[in-house]
Amino acid sequence: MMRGLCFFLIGVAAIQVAGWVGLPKALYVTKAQPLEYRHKTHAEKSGSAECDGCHTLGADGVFAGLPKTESCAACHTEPQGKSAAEATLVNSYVKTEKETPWLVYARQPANVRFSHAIHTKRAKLTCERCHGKHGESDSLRPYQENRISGYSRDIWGRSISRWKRVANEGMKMDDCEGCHKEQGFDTGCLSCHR
Amino acid sequence: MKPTRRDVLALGGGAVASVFFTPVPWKLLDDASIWTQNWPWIPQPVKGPVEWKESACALCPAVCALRVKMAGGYAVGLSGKDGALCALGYGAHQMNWHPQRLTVVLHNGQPSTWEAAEAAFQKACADGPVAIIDGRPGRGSSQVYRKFAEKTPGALYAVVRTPEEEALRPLAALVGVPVEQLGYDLENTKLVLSISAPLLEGWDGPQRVQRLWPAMQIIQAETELSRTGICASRRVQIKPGSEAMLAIALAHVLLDEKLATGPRPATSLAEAATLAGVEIEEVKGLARTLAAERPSVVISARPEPAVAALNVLLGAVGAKGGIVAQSGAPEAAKSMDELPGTLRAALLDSTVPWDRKPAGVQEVFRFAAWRGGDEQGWLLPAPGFLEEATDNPGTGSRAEALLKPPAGVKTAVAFLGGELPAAKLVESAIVPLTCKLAAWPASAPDWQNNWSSGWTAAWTPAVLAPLATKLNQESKLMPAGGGRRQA
Repeated sequence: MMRGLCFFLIGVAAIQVAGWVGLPKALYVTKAQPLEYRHKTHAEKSGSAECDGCHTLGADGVFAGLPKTESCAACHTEPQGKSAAEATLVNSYVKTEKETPWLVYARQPANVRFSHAIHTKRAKLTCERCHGKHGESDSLRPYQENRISGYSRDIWGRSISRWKRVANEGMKMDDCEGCHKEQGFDTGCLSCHR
Repeated sequence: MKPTRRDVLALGGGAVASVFFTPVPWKLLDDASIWTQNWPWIPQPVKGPVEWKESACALCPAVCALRVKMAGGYAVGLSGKDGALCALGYGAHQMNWHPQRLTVVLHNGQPSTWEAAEAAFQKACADGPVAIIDGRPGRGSSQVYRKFAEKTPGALYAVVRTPEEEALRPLAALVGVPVEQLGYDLENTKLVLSISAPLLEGWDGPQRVQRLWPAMQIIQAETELSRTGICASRRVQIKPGSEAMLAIALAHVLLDEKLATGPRPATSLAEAATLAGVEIEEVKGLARTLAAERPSVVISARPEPAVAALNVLLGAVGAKGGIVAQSGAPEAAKSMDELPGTLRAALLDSTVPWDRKPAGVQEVFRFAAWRGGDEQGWLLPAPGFLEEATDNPGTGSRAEALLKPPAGVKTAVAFLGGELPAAKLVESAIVPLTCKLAAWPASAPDWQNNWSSGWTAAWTPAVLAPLATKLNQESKLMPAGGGRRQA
């Protein structure tokens, strides 16, 4: 009897370890960004720590997306140092006028419509509320891609259990709904899925 | 210690019981459901820099200003720049991906080549006569068609008149002004008496009357209940084919009650009211309202001289809120319906509705971006939505192409060896228009017997050529039985 219980508990423990430790490691593949980028350094040198200095909203409130290569070219027509990333930026993107294929941590599925203007202007949310301290980072975090869904790990959140998540962790529909419920803003399906 | 079968079963039992307390089933289920949205054969919008560009919709003569959301060089969303768009307009960027998109030359429904089409057209030009049919005159391409017709012996240039223009033809004859110059000043109109005109169903473009209504009052006189009739402030039931009689009866009341001066129609009030199927008291009330609510105008669905004469009596011709003439309108041109019935060939621009072609023509060269109707003759693939420059004949402005057309597609201008002239803004101004009615005009031939088969049924295809194409395509895609559930 004790022997059977022992094997039962070994089975329980093995699966618990596999599920909580092994699954995240197996499920996500780490990919390198095409370039190194230091938000902190750029903020210091440009003298502006405001996110919307580069991640602009148009006059009509539409989010312009990531800065284009032409924005980088304003300073990086020639390498600003001897790093490999600098050479790659200038030679592969600025001189060829190609856009940098950044791996976007917060990219949502194509069937989701999200208005940055409504959230930052009307609801007065800070960028950090969803994106964390990304703007103060001195290097880009490794991008972890879900092997099955193809989306960034940031969408699910760092914690595999999604238990006791911090405010800026996770960008799934549950997270949107949870925040809306907290703030008392009820929304229908068509608010985001048009 | 050698594990026994019982040990393995206990281990497996523990694993199975435990797995539901790990994220494995729940996380994998979630990821798998997202994975099904991203199967490679499900079309996904292109990822790329998002930008908004301005353009114009070429689906109908209204040429609405557009804001186009572009992602990675593709159009992924549309909205109106000056207001809402029609239902078709909001999804028009998807039409380029329609399964019925035309990208190869077809001859009598069979694949062919541009070289063969060009050779056949050159032979037709040599045999003569050929006609170049323009569905939307006043554009840069219209100038190319005109020039081609001028320099090619035996070639003719003709236009497809919209039902709105056709309805104004009797008045154009009365005032001696080309019909291209005439138009309704509805923006200043207080009351419209519509005689069977589908004002709220796409008349003069899908937006114009809908923007003005209900501030602009509509009285609808019609034989069959229409959506305009439902929305109108007042609806008058008339007999089929009796539009002229209603106009005559109204003219009698205006003259009897000294609300207007002019010649009197030959048909009496009682006779006209009886033929129209309207009580005399109702006619009187209608005429008094028309006179009291000036500026008012009468709009008919078809060319009716009596309606033109009624507008003259009402003082609506050349007056604010009535029918006005504008300079800067496209040059006068022959209507396609006035062409001789012995044409060797006709080249139809992509703006010509699918159901229109010159009568008796031997060979048709039709440009179209989508398959959508009769494929006899040559079917030549034209650029689709936003894939070619869009001219607004009203303003002379031009929106350049935003999208690259697929290989194998050519414009009619390129086919004729021409080049689009530079866009030139139109300087339009109201031209004074006066008309004195010497005698009551003779009515148009009776159309009582074919009123439903012709004009009313052809309205939507005539106004919205691509809409007709799409409707036709959708009907082809429907299952047998017209898509209706079988009992």
